[in-house]
Amino acid sequence: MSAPILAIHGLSKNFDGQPALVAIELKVEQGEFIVLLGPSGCGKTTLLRCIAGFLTPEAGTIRLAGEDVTHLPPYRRPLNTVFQNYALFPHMNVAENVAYGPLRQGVTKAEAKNRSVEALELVGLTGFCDRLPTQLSGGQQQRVALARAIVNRPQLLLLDEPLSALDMKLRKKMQNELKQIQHQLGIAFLFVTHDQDEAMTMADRIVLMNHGRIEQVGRGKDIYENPTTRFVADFIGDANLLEVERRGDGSLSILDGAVMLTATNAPKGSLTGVLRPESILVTTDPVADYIALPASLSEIVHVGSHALVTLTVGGSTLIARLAPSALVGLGISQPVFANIRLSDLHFLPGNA
Amino acid sequence: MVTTLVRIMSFAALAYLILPLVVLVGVSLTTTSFLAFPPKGLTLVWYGKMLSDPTYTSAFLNSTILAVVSTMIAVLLAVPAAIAIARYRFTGRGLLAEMLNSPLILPHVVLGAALLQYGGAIGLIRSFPALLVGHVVIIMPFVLRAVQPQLSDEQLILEEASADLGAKPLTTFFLVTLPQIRSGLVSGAIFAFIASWINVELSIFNTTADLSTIPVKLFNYVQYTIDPTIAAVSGLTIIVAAVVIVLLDLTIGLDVLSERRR
Amino acid sequence: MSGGKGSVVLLCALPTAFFAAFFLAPMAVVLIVSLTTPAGHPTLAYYLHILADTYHWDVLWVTFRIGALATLTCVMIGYPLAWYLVRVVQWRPWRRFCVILLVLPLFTSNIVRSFGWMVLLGRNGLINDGLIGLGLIERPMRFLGTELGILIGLTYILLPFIVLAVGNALAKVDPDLEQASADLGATPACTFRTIIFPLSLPGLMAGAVMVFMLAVSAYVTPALLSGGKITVFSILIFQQYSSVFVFHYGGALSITMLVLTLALIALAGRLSEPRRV
Repeated sequence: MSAPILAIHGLSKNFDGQPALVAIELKVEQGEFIVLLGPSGCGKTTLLRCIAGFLTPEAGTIRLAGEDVTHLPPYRRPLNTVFQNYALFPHMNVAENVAYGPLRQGVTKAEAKNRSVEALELVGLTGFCDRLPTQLSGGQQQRVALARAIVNRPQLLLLDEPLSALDMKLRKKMQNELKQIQHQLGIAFLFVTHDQDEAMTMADRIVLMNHGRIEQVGRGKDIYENPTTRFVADFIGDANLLEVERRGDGSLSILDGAVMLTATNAPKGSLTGVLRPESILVTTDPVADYIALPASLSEIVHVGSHALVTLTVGGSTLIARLAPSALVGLGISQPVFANIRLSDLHFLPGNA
Repeated sequence: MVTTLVRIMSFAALAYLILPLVVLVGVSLTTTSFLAFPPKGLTLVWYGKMLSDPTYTSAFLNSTILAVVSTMIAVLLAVPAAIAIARYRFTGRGLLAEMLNSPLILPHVVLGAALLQYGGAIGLIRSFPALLVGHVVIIMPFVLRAVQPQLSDEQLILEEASADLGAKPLTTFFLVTLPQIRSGLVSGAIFAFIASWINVELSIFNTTADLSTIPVKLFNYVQYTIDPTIAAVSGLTIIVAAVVIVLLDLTIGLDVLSERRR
Repeated sequence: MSGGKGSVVLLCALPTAFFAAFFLAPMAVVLIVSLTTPAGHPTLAYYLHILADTYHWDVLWVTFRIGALATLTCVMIGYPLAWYLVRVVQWRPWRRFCVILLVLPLFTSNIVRSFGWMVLLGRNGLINDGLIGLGLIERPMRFLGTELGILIGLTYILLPFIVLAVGNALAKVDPDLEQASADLGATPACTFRTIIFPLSLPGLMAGAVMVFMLAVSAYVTPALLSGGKITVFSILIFQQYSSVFVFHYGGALSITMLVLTLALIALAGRLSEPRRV
């Protein structure tokens, strides 16, 4: 088993005395596509810049392919970065931009030119060699930035929200192309984004961050189905967060007693219940093998491919996600049943 | 290492920049009747001599009145021109802007010579109006360049809103446009005033023994003798300039070489 | 905007008229007079005289030489100072103070500044005293009346312009570009050579051309620091108007200087466009 390409241990970073990163632990294997995901200010870009070498951490180590690079300047680290606004050199044409890295490695001008052409072919920009960055569209600039980074065949590539300036269609196209290029080259990618759909689409593993800490690491599916903290449950997908009341005999009461869990089934400590909207079936008659909760339908919002339905169950509000076909026969203020299964109900530590 | 070298060079350069001014002020305070630096003893007697000498006081007055009047005229000419250039598209717009800005970069000696030659033909020489006219021409670009950027497109929207609410063009100008361009107007006027006050190359063509400005008086004097009184005159202009600059920094802020975005 | 042609005419009438009367007309008069004999016939004699007489070429050569050296010195001193102010200084109040020091000379008259150098560069002046005190020379050096003296004075007058031009250019360089350069393996020295300096070059060139233009057309500083021993072109022009009163010849000299200046302006315009290096 080869060593991880990136190993971060105990990394902390402060700005003006305020913590931006707190004791970060992370390992990235060779050829993995890792996405750093989180809301603005969670520290994902700060972490990326520490790894790249533009920021010096207060504590902790960063190892690249086994070598401690924590205090090395950026130009000595064997990795490359794709910047959010591309940072293409305006006074050089496309070929010169891409050839920049190889030339710094001491490669001959002719060889650098060859590699440059090769990298541009890989990103689909053959024939663009003589253009200036100002003559390129956003998508083309993004590809040049990518080519400029991968031409050096780094073992780790850092990408700082590279697709955020592109429109939706182009973005989806680039997501596919990035995955393809990554597979082709076998480079480990560390990709920063705040868009969870993008993260779910592209990542082998997602690193979810909040307030300078890592909340959860795992495959998209695992994070979605088994969130370990309230933040994760709330950030990834939609979630109904339910108060859990612990009765005197140790049993748990959810939704004002509508759902009861006996003492032996219940986890310990104070808890929050998580119920995903798509796991609630809304019907006019109870569904077999489900717990059918009487509910009143207060709002329907159509979002194209599905609909979000707001239900009042006792004193609580639930949101359910239905396919348009499942809406037949349902109307506002209609008494209905919210059908759930205990197996779809997850528990997280902490209060709602 | 390189940074230390740059630091040393910069301190030397800054010392170079301040040296003549410090020396002049210092020399103006010496008790000796010849120039001595460092000054031997400190006295304000030379400043007193200067202030009690009518040729100097009248020259100060001339310089100041000339600067004030030419600045006022420059403002009255520059503001309409700036509005026209910033707001309208018309043939000759670029040419007009270039012509109005060109006195900044054309040699003052040539301008002065031309005005003298031309003025001689129409009787406009060696008089206050003759000086005035030349000064207005060379200081107007300062006002123009300071006001023009403030007549931006965002500014235009405010004027359109004013018109939409029923204000006539002149009302809009006084109530909306003028407040917006005020800071550019003030800084432009200050630069124009200074440019007029310190001007030599243009003024020497049209000054006489009776009608002179301080810079021209200094120019004529130092070619023959230099004494502490002259140093006091220079020292006063330096002190006034320093006061004006500090005021400018406190009001508008001179952090022109400010930090780059991170 | 509403108003159209009428408003434009109203707004521009006064400024245009003023400039036409007191800027364009005088220039036109000078041009015409330079091409006319005192009797009123058209002639190129004055221009031919300028071209033919080697005295003018000597004066032009001295003017250009001093101007070029002054520009060079300004750049050599000014670029590091601009670098220091924009990139080394972290504390804002100190930078503001330095900018005040930089701009203060600009607010004092040329004559005052030149007078200051007359005092400093004299036989018993501070500079000579300092050089003798440091043991670098034995007897006082002559500065006034030499090209070196004029050079020192001119560089002093023009230095702030270069610092401001280069400073603005350096401040505009995108920090991301420097980080990208480091990320791709360039040391700070290499980043300066390949990225920062080329990007600051257009601003530097535009500043240098403006400074050169001001240097070759300068009058007061060379007049005072030359002690009458050195003649530059503007002194020549001024002599025609103040003592000799030969306006035809003086006019031709003026137009020559004007043409030169316009050519330099055009050059500056070309150089300040962003270009590939």
